[in-house]
Order: sequence, then structure tokens, then C-alpha cells
Amino acid sequence: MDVKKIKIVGLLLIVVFLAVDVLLFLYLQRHNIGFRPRQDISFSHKTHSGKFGITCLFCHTNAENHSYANYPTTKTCMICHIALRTENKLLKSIIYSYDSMTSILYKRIYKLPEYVRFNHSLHLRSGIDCATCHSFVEQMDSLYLARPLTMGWCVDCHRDPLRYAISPRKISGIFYPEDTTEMWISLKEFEIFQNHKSAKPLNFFLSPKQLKPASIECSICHY
Amino acid sequence: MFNMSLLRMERRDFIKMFLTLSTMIATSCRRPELFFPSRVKDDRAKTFENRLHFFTTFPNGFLPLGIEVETFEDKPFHLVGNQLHPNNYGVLPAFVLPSIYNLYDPYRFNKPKAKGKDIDLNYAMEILFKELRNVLDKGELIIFASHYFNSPSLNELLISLENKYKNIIFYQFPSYDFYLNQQLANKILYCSSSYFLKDVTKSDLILNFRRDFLQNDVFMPYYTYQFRSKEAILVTFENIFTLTGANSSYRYIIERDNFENALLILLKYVSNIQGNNEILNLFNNFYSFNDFLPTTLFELLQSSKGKKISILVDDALPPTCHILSNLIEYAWNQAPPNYLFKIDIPLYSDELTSLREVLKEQEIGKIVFLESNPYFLGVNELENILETLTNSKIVTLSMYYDEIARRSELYIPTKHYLEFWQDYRNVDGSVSSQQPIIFPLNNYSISIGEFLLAFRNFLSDGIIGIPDYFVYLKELYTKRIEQSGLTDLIRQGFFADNVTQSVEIRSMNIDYANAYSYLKKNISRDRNNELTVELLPNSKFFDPTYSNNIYLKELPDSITGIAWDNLLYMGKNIAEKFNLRTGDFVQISNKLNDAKSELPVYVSDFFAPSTIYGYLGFGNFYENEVFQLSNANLSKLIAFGHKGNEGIFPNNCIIPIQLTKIDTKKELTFVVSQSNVYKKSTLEWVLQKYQNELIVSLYQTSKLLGKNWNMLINLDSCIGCNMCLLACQLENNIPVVGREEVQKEREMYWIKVHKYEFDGAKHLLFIPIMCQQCDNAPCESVCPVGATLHSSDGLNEMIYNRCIGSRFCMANCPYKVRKFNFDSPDNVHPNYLQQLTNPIVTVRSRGVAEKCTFCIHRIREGKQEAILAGKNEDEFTIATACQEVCPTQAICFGRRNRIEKEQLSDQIYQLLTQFNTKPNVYFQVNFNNDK
Repeated sequence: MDVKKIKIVGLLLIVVFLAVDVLLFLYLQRHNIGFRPRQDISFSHKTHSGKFGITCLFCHTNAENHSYANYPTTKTCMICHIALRTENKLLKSIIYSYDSMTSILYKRIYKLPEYVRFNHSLHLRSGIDCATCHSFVEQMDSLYLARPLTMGWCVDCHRDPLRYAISPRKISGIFYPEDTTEMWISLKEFEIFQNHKSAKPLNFFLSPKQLKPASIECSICHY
Repeated sequence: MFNMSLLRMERRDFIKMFLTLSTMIATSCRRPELFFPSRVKDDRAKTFENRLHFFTTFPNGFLPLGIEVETFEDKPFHLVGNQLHPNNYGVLPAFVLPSIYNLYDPYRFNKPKAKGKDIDLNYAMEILFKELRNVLDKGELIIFASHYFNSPSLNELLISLENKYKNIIFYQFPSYDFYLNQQLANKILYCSSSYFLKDVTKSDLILNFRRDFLQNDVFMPYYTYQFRSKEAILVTFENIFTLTGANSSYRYIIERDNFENALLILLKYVSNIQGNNEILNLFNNFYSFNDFLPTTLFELLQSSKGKKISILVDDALPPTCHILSNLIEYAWNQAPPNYLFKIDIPLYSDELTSLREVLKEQEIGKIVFLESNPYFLGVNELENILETLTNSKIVTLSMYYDEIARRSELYIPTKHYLEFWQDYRNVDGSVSSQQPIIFPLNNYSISIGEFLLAFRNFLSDGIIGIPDYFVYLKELYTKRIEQSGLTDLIRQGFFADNVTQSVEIRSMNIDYANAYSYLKKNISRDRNNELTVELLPNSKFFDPTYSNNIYLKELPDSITGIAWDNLLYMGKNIAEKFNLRTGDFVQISNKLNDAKSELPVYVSDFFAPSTIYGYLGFGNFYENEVFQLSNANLSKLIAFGHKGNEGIFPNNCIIPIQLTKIDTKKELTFVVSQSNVYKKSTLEWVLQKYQNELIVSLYQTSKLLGKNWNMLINLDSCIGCNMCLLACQLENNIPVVGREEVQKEREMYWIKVHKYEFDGAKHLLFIPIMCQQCDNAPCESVCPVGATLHSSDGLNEMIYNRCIGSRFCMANCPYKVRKFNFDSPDNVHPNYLQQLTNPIVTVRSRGVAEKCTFCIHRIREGKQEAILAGKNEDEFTIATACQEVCPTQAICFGRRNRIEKEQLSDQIYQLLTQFNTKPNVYFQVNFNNDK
């Protein structure tokens, strides 16, 4: 082989390698994947969720019934930390917030554009795990944006959910009456509770659904 | 030192450096960090979307209105009427809906001011209370000038203060409301100075003397609720053109001077045909003209013999008219008029005389204005008092820094009605509660109740501080009501405390002799040829406190379609005499003084030929850009500093004037809503139309039958009050575009109420037109980017983020209901307006087309709620924003199969069916009651 040819091929390879690099970089930059702001509170999901097994819904309670998943209140932190009130430096800001009734300023990572309406509860009820959109948070020390949150990415899953969606996991806190091993209320209790006159219609458990392709009409999200 | 060789680098080097620098900058750019404050404690009940509903009361004189306020993240942003409230049953006048705007209004946020300097609230109270005590010690007078308190707790405070300290006087004067005319009449007839409210539901024929009870009336919610069924024949006599006149079966145009005569003729005629000799003998010798009432009226009266009649008279008409109307009703029904409720309003003339007597003996030490602006109304007695006083003796408490506040040396801002506790007396005797929905936005503000309570505490204990009014209210009511009543008060917004018996009113007897002598003295026989203007309150700004509202400013007048401007309305004869046309500028000046005002005129055949009238409530009261835009403050003619207005207020606002034409031209601001397309909508036309229907289609037929969302509008009920338009604007974040943009026909209303002259301009027909949500939508086929599409539930939807602003859809829409955003949301939604925006509706950006969505956010939310509750996806109902506020319930909304039964009827039609657009909005034809 000529030295020239080797040189050309080598150059081409370098160019292709660089181009792929640049494109990947641009893609990630475009969608902010890896966006990891420094929070005021150095909270570790890995410790709390991965190590101690606290479920997602324990803190982000609204995700089950509301369109948006809330940031936990300081009171939620203090459920445990009122007893574990150590003199750790990391806890200082939380204790200060609780004592002085000032809110913690979280930096938002997952933010959809203003013209998009997204409902957390509807997705949870359909049997879609948090990790589908938020990745495996229990393995992250500090949270970062792991999915592009583009419309194409949404529509991909809406068209073929079985391929993209992750089914409910124990760590998320989404349970179904079917798998009795992981239930907080047994099936019988569930039925009794539903049939009881004074009880309001139970709106925290639904019968499990087979994931079906969801609607991709524009006005499902944009209105 | 700076190395100059850097600047002398070569071109290539420069490009290299530029590129490397720019890439470095680009890569170091990060997404801006958005802060999100969390809650510390969250003990509240969780509701859908964190939105909560509260029942409270809108203070509206003697008719407090029950409202339901919706909050998002603790901020109120939306309100509707309280369906249970005994005063209004969910009916609201226009000025209530956007009243939350005033809560966030930046022109409201003031600090207390002493001699022009900002001070602290506690310090201001300390100064004021000590001065007031000094005045009391000296033996001088303290006058608290205010509008009438319609609050039991405030009245109790007032009485306790007046009884304890003889130097304290509460002087209450009416705000805009001409209660006095009816009160004087009642005093003569029944020896009772209460104000009476009629029950018109049982009458078959209503004779209405200029009372605009469908719009321009303080008691509009009360009478509109009664009028909903619209079974009675409504006959209106008027010199101006009111919405009630436009909706009545017969409308007779008579001059203002002729109202007394018309009533006299009717009295004679009625007592003649009913054979009531007692009245006939008394009034037969009364002289009356007999040349202006048409024969059709007498035919109508003859034909409706034996039916029940009731007469409504405008409160601005003199007491003689009220007395005569009572006599006619008695003569016809052989029973006293059907009064339902009485309201005990202090007689203004009595208060006046007592004040004058006190002023003869004592000197005024301090005068405190409690949320009342005498400059706005021109109250003569206050004028005389204020002329002699120095600024140091005047104190003002008001929401805005208005004229009287500028005059006074000490000013304290007051709270918005969503920020404090108060109670109000309803017409039926029950009590409404007003509860704070939000913590006071202005820390330096105080409510009137808190102020008076603090004053009483200071006088008795010497403590200065803001008391908790709720504690006082609770003490007051726990004596009277049980715990269940208290929960009622919070949950419903009212509770039955002391319900009056209507029987008591019905058994009253008429004093004929007294009435006869009064009429003989007061009925004028000469027709007055002097040029006079009548000043009327405007339905948009009854209470001048809320007139600082851009939503109301842009709301078009129902009859004329005028937005933003104040005009002088005049009949044909006057216009001919002064050679005026609509849009010409005139200078109007009070003959008795030098007060002047310049404004354009509006000439129409609808008014009586020699009538001139104008509306109060416009003009520059507060330092606000909104007011600088709109012009012509007619209250200047009667307001302060101009002598010679004796007896003008509050009996009636009629002023002798001079008119002069001015050459300056100015473009008027109309919201034009008239096209001949929808003109014919009577039953006959619909029947004809179905015979020649075109059945040629370019589109595929829709397969969505049965699932569609439909709207049915009953034109028979629609009164054209523009409430739907206003509610839609507030619900869907539709911007207020401003005066200049409206002149370019760029107003953004999604609903337009089209109006058509009918029956020789005797009355009007109103058709609200919004997006018809066509099954074969012409807009969809022309959109180059597919931004407007059809959804599976039959909605014609608009995807804002896809729209590129080609405006093809607007051109291709046969109904012309699409709107285009010419301005960016940052300009039309400034910071303080963002608090008012509906959080679940997108704020559209510049260059985007938009239209009515059938409140798609409510539909989607309803669906989500249905799914979460485990119901079927399609089994839910919602109410659109326009449907919620319609005072006559003309709008019906639901799935196609829900209102299918009514659709089968041949009284129902759709617009422009010849284009085969298959619209989803149906209209029920308007019947005239006269046939």
C-alpha cells in the first residue's frame, strides 16, 4: 500500500472520528443531556434510594395523583432527619430551612417547554416506571438530565411503548393489586375498601393494563 | 502594558483566534438554571392540580354578590358566581369578573403618606389616632364620610362609636345609586322609607320605564335571574337605548320629559278599563298630553286584560314616576304591587338635614373619607364643607391614591376585597361572608372594619395596633348562630340569619290622599326646551374603585360596540341642530359654572330625537397610563370646585349645558361586529333555507358522529350582554391589546356578539359567534404546516407551537373567527398580569393564529379526572367558561348525543351550511314574544 493511501485513509478515519465526536457532542449539547447543576442541598439519590431503598413516591408524592411531581417539602426530609439530626454539615441547610420556614431553592433539571402539557399520574397509572423518563436515579449520586425530552423521543414511546417503556419496579413505589407480594393493601382489603359506602372511590390503585400504543394526536400534549 | 502587536495580526491568525474563541464560548454555555422554591410544610388538602375553590362575597352596595374564587398555588386567578347565593344565584355583572385584576394592579401599591412622605402604617395610625383624640378633647367634630355600610358588624361599630362619643358623626352618602327617588315615593305611599324589590316572575306583562335591569342596574343580577324564563311580555319605554330595550318585545321611544305623562295616561286608561273609580275620580282632572303613545300599546293592554302586570321604573327617574307606577299596578291588579324584599337604606335627605343642623353649632376638627371619593360625584354638602377646611383636617383611606387622597394630608391605603374579613346583609335578610383568599399583598394596607375597630380599641384602651377582624366577627356571630351556621358561612359563603317575611310588605296600604297632593305639587305641565344632558352610571364601572381595569376598558359596549372611549350620545334633532355626525368632537360645558369637557358624539335614530346623555365613570382619576389613553371625564361637569349644582345629586343628574362643535377629529374605537352573513335567523328564514340546501361536497364525510362535542346557543335567551366574551378572555389568557390596536381591528376576542337591527330598528338581535368547530373544517385543508388538525373527539384543534403565521386559515375561514397575535406576550402580559393568567392555558407567542378551543383544557382535564377516578373515558361532562357565566343560561355544551333530542327540532339551525362545513355549534331561533 502506498504511504499516500494510508495517509488518506488515516486522515479520513480521523475526520470521521472527529465528525462523530462533534455530532455526539452537539446532540448532547442540543438536548442538554448530562445537565447537572449544583444544588443547594447535596442530596444523594444513590444513598437514599439505592442504599436505603426509599421509594420515589415517598418524597415525590404528587406524581401519583397530580399532573406534576413535586419537589419534596422540607417536612418530608424531617420525617427521618428529625431523629437523625446530626451535626453533619450537609444537613445544615435543611435544618435551617425547617427552623426558619424558608423554602429551599431547587434547581430544575427536568423542564418541558411551556406549550407542553404532561401528566405524571396518567403515565404512572398506565404502568410506566419513573426510570422510563428519568433513567435509573437510584444509581446517581447527584441527579442529571438523562433523556433528551424531545417530541420525537416522546412519540417513539407512544407508538411502541413495549419497546421503550420500563415496567414498574419496587423502588418506584408503584404497585398493583395483582402482584400480592409487593402490595401494601391486600386484594381482599382493597375490595372491602372499595365496596364500603363511606369510602370515596379509591384513586390510588388501578387494575394493571397491558401497555397499548398511546394516542399521538397533537392536542394530547399541545393545547 | 497592552501589547499592540495583537491588533496587527494577520487575517488567517485572526480567523483562527476568532473560531477558537467562539467555540470555547459556545461550549462553555450552559442551560440557564431555573430555581424552584419548595414548600417547607404542606398540610393542606391535596386537590387536583393544586387548585382550590373558595366561596366569598363581592361587595356591591346593597346587593352583595356571592362568588366562587379559584386559586392556583394560593393565588386567586379566576372567579364565577355562587349558584346558591340568594342575591344573585350565580348571575354576575360584568365588572365583577375581572376584579381580581385590581388585586395585582401595580398602581394600587402605596404606602401611607403624611404630607407627601411615605411612612409606616403603625406610625400613621399613631399620628391619626392621637390627633383624633385631641379633636375629641377640644370638643370639635369628627366626620367619617363613606358610602352606605351594608355590613351588620360595621353598623354595630358605627352605632357603638356614635353612642359613646357625641362628637363623632358618620355621614353616609350613596355612591352611584339613585335609591332616593324610590325611597321618597315609598315614604309618600307607604310611610316607609325602605327600598323595595319586586317579584316579576309571576307577572305576564312587564311595563318597563327605562329600567335597564339586564345590564345597567345595581340590581341587575337579581332581576336578570328572575327574568331568565322570559315568559312575560316585556314592554319598554325609553329615551336612551338600553340592552333591556333591545331585548323587549315592544320598545317605545319617548322623551324623558314625557315619562310622567305616559304614566298618567296609562293610569287613567287602566283605572278606566278596570273600573277603579276611586283612582279615576282622583286623577281625571290631571292634565296630560296625549299625542305620543301609540295605539298598539292600548291594544296590547286591552288584550291582556285579566293578566298580571308589573311595572319597573328606573331609579334615576323622579319620585312622581315611582308613585304613578305603584298606582297603576294597584289599579290593574286590584292589589298592592308584588314586592318581595325590602332593604332598609337610610334616607339621604334626612341624614343631610341632621348634618346641617350639627354643622351650625359645632366646628369640624377632622373629616375622614372611608373609601369614598367626593370628587367623583360632586356632593354639594361635602363641597361646602371641604372649601372651608385646610388640608391638615382631611384624612383619606382608599385603595388608590385618588383626588381626595391627594388633597388630604394623611393617606392610608386600604385592602382589596379578597384580602380581608367582612360580612354583608343580603336582600332576604341572610348574611354573606367575605373571607380573605390571599394574605395582603400590601403590608401597609388596612380594611375599613379593621380601622374602625382599631379606633374604638384606642379610644377605650389606648392601644395602637391592627386588630384581628375575624375574632371580632366570630364574637359577634357565635352569640347568634350555632356551629352549623358557621360552617355554612365558610362553605357556602352565606347563612340564613334573619330572613324577612315578604308577607309583611304585601299587606301595606297605599295612602291615596298623600300621593295625590304630592303629584299635584310636583308634576310639571310645561315642556322644558332647555338643552340638558343626563349623566348616567355605566354598567362597566358602577363602583369607581374598580374602574381602573383594562379588561373593562376594552370590553365593547353591547349596543354601540364602542371600546375604550367615552362618548356623548344624542338624538337626531339635536344632531341636526348643531350639524353633528357620529365621531364629531364637541365641547360640552355646564351652564351654571365653567366646567367643561371635550368628547366625540354618537348620533343614532335609536334615541329619542331631542335627548342627550353621557356616561360617568370614565376619565383620569388615578395616575395610570390606562386612564391617560381614555378621555372625557364627564363627572367633571358635576364634580368639585364648580358651584351652582344645587339639587343635582343624588336625585337625578340632569344638567343644563351648552354645546359647541370643535374641528379636531379623532378616530373612534369600535369593536366592529356586524356582517350580513348571519343576519337572518328567524324561524321563517330557517324553514325556507332548508328547502334549498346545497348538497355538494369536496370533503369526505365525517365518521365521528355521536362522539363530538357540541354547543347549542339559545338565541331566544341570549341578551347580548358580552359576558361570555369577557369570561372567555379571562379564561384563555387572551390579551388586552389596547386602544390603538382595536382601531386597527386587531382585538383578540374569541367570541364576538354580532347584533342586527330588527323590526324597523325597534329592537336588536344578538348572535354570539365563536369557532364553529367544523367537521369539514376549511382551515385545516389550507394550513401549510398542519398546525390546525382534527382530534378524535371531533375538535378542530390549534397547535400553537407548530404555527408559522401564514394566516391562510384565517383567510379560508368562512366565519372569520380566527385571530392573529400581532404582539408578543411580553408586551401584552406584563409582570403583574402574569399572576392573572390561567396556568393550564398556553400563552400564545407573536405570529400565531388562535381561536376558540371549546375550552379544550377543561375537556382534557375532565378526561384525566375521569380516568383517575376509574370511570369510562367518555363519560364526563364539563362546562365551558362562557357557559358558566351566561346570566340567562343560553349556552348548552355537551356530547352530540346529549343534546341530540333538541337538535331534532326544526327550530335549530347552523350557520352557513351551504358551504358543507358541518359546524358543531347549533343555534336555536329567536322568537318574538309579540307573535
